[in-house]
Amino acid sequence: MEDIIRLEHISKEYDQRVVLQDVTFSIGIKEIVALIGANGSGKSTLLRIICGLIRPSSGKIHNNLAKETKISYVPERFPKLRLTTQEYLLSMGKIQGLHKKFMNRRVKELMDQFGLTEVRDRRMNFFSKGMLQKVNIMQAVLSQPDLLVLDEPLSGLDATSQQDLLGLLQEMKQQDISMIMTCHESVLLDELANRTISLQQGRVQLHSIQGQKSYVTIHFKLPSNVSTFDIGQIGGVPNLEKVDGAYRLQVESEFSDEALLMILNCNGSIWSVTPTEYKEWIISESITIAGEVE
Amino acid sequence: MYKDLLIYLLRNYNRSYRFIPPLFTYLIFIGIFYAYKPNPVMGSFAVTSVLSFIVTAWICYSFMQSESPVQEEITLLHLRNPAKYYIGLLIAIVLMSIILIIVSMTYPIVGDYFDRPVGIEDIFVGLLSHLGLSFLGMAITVFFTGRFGSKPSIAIGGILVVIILSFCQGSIASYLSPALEWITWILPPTFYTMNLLMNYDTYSGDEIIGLLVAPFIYSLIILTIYVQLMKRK
Repeated sequence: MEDIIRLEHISKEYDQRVVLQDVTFSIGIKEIVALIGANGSGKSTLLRIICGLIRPSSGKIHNNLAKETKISYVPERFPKLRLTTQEYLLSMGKIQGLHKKFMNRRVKELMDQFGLTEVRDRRMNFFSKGMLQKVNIMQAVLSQPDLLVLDEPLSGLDATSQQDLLGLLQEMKQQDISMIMTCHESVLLDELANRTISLQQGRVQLHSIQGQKSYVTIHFKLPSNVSTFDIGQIGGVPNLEKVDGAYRLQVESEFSDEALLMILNCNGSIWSVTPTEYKEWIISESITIAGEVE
Repeated sequence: MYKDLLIYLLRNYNRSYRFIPPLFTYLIFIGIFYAYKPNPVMGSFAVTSVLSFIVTAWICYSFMQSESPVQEEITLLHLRNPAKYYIGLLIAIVLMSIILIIVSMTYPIVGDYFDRPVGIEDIFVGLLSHLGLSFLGMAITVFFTGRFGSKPSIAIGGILVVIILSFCQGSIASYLSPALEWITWILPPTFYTMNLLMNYDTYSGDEIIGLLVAPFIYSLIILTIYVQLMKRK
């Protein structure tokens, strides 16, 4: 897949506090990437760097389109402005330099699509959070962006509003708009994202591709008289190897409970269980299909 | 080129009603100041120019606060030109202060509150001094706004200190040795413009032009640095 944007070794520090550290990944054309991670893991900072709103302390961002990449941004907390929806959207359209005729048609189209036609002349400071979030997305898609950047698009919305917005994002997915979004909701990951990137303390911890199997790595030790043969026979184990007197087992997530139980039943001790990065897994040269190691 | 941005910024600011305190302060002061007549033309312009300086600083501060930081980011992305955004912001503030200047200059002329008829030269000098000091008020404020990295308490304190110091520029300069007098050049040249209007007849043509232009040059330097720094932020 051709990349629309590529981040290379991006780091960001605020007052000597490291927020992002050596982040490298790319977003493909028509791809939807979900960025997950705990609060304070650097997700929003990363999105704002992608938008060009803040500069990274180090690293480079490559826009791979022949033209200038048009990026639209849906921030997490849209302000309660005292403008009406109509005034606001027309202003944002004019500022972008959209043609008046196109803009009027587009604003009407979006009002209908998002169900805000009735309140188009009401000031937004009287809007609910769900209505504000709709305006937030509308401003970002007034003209079709190459990349849509969404910061917690479903955050704080009730179930109905979440479903409405999910439907709208799926419609945008059909229009082949590339997206990167931070989210906590599994519904976005399951139904929308092609790929998930996990950030922990400013570092990329895990890439996983939706529809692909996810894996975990189990580090364990067995008594010397116990064979690993049975463990190797568990389904979903493509790799079992001996490392410094202990074992490293890579197993499909859905078979991990079975593997852990078997290790414990063999009087083994578990040292660690960690999700395995998909790309690392694929390029690993040490893949040995399950079997007796020793 | 800036029309749509200016309409948006001014509409957003006006809907915030943050303009009401500085506007009413200005209008009430003008009303009280011209309650008695007759008044000297240049002396009155000196007072209202200083008022424009203070009130424009106030308007500038409230204008900078009127757009939320999140919306500022959205606007910047739509505009795709940070310099245009910040220049637009400054033009919008100047437009607001021009309205005040027009009021402060036409009110006494129309109401015949001066001690003599007002000539073209008076209007020209008055307009430039009001506008120059308004630019100065804006220039010192942008450096203390929250967007530029200061906390509100530091920003307001900083603006007030610079305003007070700039009025005392003449006294400060007289206390300093000639070798250190250049230190006062850092301060906005408010005092010198005020002094020019108070003692207009004692200045030569060249001095008048120099003193009227100085606030614009000072402001232009500060505002250019501001736009450049904000672009890189």
